[in-house]
Amino acid sequence: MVGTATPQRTVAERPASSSARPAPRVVPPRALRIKTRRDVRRQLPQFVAVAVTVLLGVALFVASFDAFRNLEASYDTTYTRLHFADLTVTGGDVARFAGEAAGVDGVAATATRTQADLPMQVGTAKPYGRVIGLPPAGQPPVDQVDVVAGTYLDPGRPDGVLLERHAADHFGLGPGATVEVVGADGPRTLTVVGVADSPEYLWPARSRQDILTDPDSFAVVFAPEATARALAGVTGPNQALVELTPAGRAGDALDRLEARARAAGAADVQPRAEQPSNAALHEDINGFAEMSVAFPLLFLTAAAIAAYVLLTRRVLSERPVIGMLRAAGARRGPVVVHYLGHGVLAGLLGAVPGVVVGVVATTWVTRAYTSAVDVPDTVVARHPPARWPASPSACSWGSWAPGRRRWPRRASRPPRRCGGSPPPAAGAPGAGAGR
Amino acid sequence: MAVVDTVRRRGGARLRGVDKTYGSGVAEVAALRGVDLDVEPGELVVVLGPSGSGKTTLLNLMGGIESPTAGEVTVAGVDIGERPPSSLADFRRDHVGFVFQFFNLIPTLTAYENVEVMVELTGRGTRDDVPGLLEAVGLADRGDHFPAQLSGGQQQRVALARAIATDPDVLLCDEPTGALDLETGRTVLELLQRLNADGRTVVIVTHNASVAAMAHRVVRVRSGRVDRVERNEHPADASALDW
Repeated sequence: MVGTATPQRTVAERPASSSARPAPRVVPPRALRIKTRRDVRRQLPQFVAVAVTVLLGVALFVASFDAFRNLEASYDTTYTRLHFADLTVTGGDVARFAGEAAGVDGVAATATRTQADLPMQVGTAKPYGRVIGLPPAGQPPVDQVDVVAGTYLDPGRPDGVLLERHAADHFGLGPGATVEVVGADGPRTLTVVGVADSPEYLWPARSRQDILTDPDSFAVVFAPEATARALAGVTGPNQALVELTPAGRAGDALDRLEARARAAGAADVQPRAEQPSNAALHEDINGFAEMSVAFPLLFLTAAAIAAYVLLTRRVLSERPVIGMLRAAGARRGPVVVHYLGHGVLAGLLGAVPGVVVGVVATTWVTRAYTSAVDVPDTVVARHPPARWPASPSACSWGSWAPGRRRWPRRASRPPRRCGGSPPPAAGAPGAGAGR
Repeated sequence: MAVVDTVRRRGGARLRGVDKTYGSGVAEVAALRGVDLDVEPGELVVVLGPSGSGKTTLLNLMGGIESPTAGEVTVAGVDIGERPPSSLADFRRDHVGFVFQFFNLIPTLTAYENVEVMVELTGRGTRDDVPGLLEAVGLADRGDHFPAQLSGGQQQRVALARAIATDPDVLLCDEPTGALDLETGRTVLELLQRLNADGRTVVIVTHNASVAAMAHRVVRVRSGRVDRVERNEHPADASALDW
């Protein structure tokens, strides 16, 4: 015989009937929380696999997306600091254009200079390089350079030039080295007084058509304006540069300036977006932006699928239990929340360390990139975690489909052997199960 | 054993012209056809029939797990024939307890927690009721055992404790001894008989004809129809059953 008296509550003791439904729960019941903990422990390898996939996705997303934004900020910082031109006008009466442009609303600064593509000998190579004139007494108002080795130009040294950093690095040249430029009056030997970064040549491209320039065939030399004119065989500047104010960039100043430049007989009018280096870097950075979404998306999709498979297996193995709970009147919400919780848990287990890894990796990725491209300024910033919740969400969606099923009728069917414990043989104690 | 008049008899069921059809077109299967059945409050009814005769469908309809294709189903005074699924969940929670052949215990929860989860999910009763429920099924000292550490009979008793955790008016049992040997099956039937003696309506669906001896009435189902209803003037004590 078993048992003692059957507990029987009186009518007064019984909770009211259907009019008083159990209050909706935000936190699952204690027993279901215990179940979740033990379920996770029982399927630890699978949970870890999902969590690691989420971790990789989140870390990649945080690192690459933040690095992408940091790169944009790094470029912008350099452009702002060195007054990168919003408009470069070549040919025509550039002096007149620059004068007119200075009076246009939204223009911050203008400058004129001489630019010429000439044969050179740099080290052992003989590139068809570019000579750009700079005022020897000080930085120009637009398209300044950042001297990273040696000194800026000296008005007392007309043959002293700055060598653009990519060429200097490629040929292993520094201050004191010489380059020979074949100008209008024949070959002229110039002495490198400094190595410089330029916002125009962060990516050393000769033109939009020649983005991937062979370092042996292209080098940039910044010479005193008078020297540049002498080498080019011209008496006046052939290029005008315009920098806009932020308000000018937002308005139609650029369109108006382009129209004026063409009216002044310009052969080439190049807005910043078309500037070869900037355009190349933006194409690169846009690819980076796509990658920063595509790769994490791949991982998060994999995580969602893994969560779906994991939870589907669990739900299928527990169909009779779910059916039993539902048959007994348990509302669907808490049951769904319970299984959804598995996915959210796996997502959080991966997302939290993923964010930490991603934040650390952001600095590394940003510095590695700016170092590889020789961006003078490196901005490393932490951005608001607006999209990080995507990871637990991905797992939640993966868990949603299996979690929302309902099988009250399945309660009367035998359990599957997929993950759950089948009942032991009749009358025989089952094998022990640890907590 | 007769229904004791001194206890409050509750539950009961009334089915009128009930049809239940699964599928459609060429795949249509009529599980129940024109079933009329009355189960008195506090009665212990055994439904007998061969496999596929519609026993489980009948139980599911009485428990509000499924809705009839046609006809009326009233259980514990509640017309559940055309209730929406969400409302049926409320009905089940308030009036019905289920015991199934395969126990359906959660393997990662102890016996105590398996009963507790039902109390918490349905909101009927509190955690403090759980020790009493386990004691009622003779498992007061097995509360911290996992299902795999319990025998089949003990697991079915945990399932019984879970079924009565909501204090149901009607206890519906689908082959409750199907997975048990004679001795443990008999123990479970004794418990069901005692729960019935407390005034609950108990309906047991089985293909084990020996169980019929303990019923007040025996309903024989064949090919989706109620074939015969027999009244037992002297229901046997479950402990005396043999098969």
